[in-house]
Amino acid sequence: MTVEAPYALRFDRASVRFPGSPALALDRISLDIAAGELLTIVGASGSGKSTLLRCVNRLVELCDGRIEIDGRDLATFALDPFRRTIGYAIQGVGLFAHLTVAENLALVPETLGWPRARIDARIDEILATVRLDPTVYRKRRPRALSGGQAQRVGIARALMAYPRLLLLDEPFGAVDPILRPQLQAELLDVLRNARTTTLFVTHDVDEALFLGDRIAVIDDGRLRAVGSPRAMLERPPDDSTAALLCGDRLLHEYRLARLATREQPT
Amino acid sequence: MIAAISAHIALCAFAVAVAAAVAVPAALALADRPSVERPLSALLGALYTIPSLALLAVLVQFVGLGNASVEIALVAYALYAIFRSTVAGVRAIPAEQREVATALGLPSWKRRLRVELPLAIPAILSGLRIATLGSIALATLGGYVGGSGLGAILFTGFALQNRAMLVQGALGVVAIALLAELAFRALERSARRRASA
Repeated sequence: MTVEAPYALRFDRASVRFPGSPALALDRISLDIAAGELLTIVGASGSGKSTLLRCVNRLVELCDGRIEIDGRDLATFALDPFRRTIGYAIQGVGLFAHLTVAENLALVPETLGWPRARIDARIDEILATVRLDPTVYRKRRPRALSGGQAQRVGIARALMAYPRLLLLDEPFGAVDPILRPQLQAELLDVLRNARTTTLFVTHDVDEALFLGDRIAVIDDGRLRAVGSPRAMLERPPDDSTAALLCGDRLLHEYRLARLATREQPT
Repeated sequence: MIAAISAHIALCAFAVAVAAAVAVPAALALADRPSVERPLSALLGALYTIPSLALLAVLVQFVGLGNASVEIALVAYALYAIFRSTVAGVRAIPAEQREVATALGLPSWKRRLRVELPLAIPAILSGLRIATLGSIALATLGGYVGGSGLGAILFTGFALQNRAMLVQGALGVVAIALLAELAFRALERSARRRASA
């Protein structure tokens, strides 16, 4: 079985204006994301970070500029087949309540025409990857899952068909804070193995610093800064980024220490 | 009496089934197209407001006496409730769920059949219940234009001034309506449980 190479992305002065709004929701964003990179996008509520993500699977259309996928203009892709190459998970999980876990996971592979045996094998594999016992969880409905389990299934669905790009919009936003670090560590482990290009939106600075190969800071629809977590913590490019990412001295030290745990070789 | 009850149920079930076969797919297809859905809703609403005896009288002129006229009238009245409830059901699906179905790249027919239709089932059942109860009541008028079912017993009872026939016919209609109401309520409850997160 061949798994296609992850996408590389380029935002070129990408701009979005919502109908009836005088201001741009995204204001000339230019950004390159390498194939296999995990970029976390951090910013306050309403800063435009989710809009940036939703431009990539064209739930939101640009009013100006362009986005390139492997050098090809996004606007030229056939929409539904392109979306099937992207994994998407959101804060509310978006699992379909009337379908079992296995049925939720099978939606995209069925559409892609995978044989039943391959779908079943992949369901078992992906549930095991997100640390859910397939024999227990395959037939459960979403209402019978805890918040953390539902998030795991949401991420499993996003990864199910070997996506070339993952879009994760605050996937742990509704998860118990006690469980979050564990889920973050598990996700990092899964993504390291999957080597999928990932855009991860969060308003949680610690999450952004811990997960990202690089961090992009979005504010008021504009890209304020982009760089590696360590560079952003040690040499923030401006005062507002420093205030957002570094916090007070104690918090700064904690964030550097947590980052060091991620940077240890696995 | 049993034959009349069976005929009454068959008359209503056939009409509601035909109306559902037309209205549910149409509503699923048009729920996102208000420019087409609104005029169609208005048309079906206008049809729904025509007094039933007047509609039957007109239909008899074209189709003749008998069940065919009654069935056409029943279908015409049932369409509105089923179409409107299906549109409302699709529009009540949380935006997040519909957006995820789109983002997964499911083709539109699959979004409709695998996601929107099942999630709209409680609302559709509510529309089917209203249409069925309306049909059970309206089908009694069919007796006036030669239709079968409990309407025939009621109108014969009127003509003969036969109280027993009138009571039998009336109680039969009430019993069918109550059973339909209870059955649909139970189905709706079960569907709501299934469709809720």
